Amino acid sequence: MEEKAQLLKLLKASEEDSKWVSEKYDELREKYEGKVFAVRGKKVIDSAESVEQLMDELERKNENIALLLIESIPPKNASFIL
Amino acid sequence: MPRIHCHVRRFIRGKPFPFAAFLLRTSKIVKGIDALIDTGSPFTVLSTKDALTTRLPLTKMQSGETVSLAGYRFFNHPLGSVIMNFRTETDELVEFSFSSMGALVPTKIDRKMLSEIKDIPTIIGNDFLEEFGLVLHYNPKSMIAYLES
Repeated sequence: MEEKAQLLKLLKASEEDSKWVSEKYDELREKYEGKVFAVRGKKVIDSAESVEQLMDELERKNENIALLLIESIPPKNASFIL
Repeated sequence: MPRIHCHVRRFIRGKPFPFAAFLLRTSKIVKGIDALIDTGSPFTVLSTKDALTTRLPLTKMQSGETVSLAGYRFFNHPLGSVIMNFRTETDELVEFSFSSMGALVPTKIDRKMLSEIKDIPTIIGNDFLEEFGLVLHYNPKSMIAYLES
């Protein structure tokens, strides 16, 4: 029961951070275009040029990566069809 | 089963797309993932970026079926059985045990390639929707999305 509550909390936090990234999309693109950044509690807590660099930095800071949203925003004029 | 909560977020060119947050669990990984729900994709795949954030050893995973996505070639490396937990609109946790999930591993791994593909998200594809009998309801204008059985 406690584990379920914990997992739900984790999911909700991740959704909230994702919504926040969407709301702040233009602002974050200006600042982090071409980079990778980590979000927790509606804040960018770290950024780097690559995912590996960001992971190294977050691990060095003893951050729990499972709880973080790791994001990148495609450049303004870039498009791709999945 | 109650509806599975999805959210609509800005993505390619700042346009809205349907995403679902889930917890990916294996014997070695617990990670929150935000995935694009793509009914045009036959596969459910963990993006290269998300694979790297879980510290999966990509260089040892260059095997599996090759797939083309967004102009890049990847191995769809099977991850084996994974547990995916989603949140319902009534705030319950639902669990799916899924054995067809793969990881997108570039056929060529170098710094330039990893930088170019970092915007490609994890995808929940038709295989997942079909296996669990889920339907995507998505209205981009009103920013509503959910999965329903």
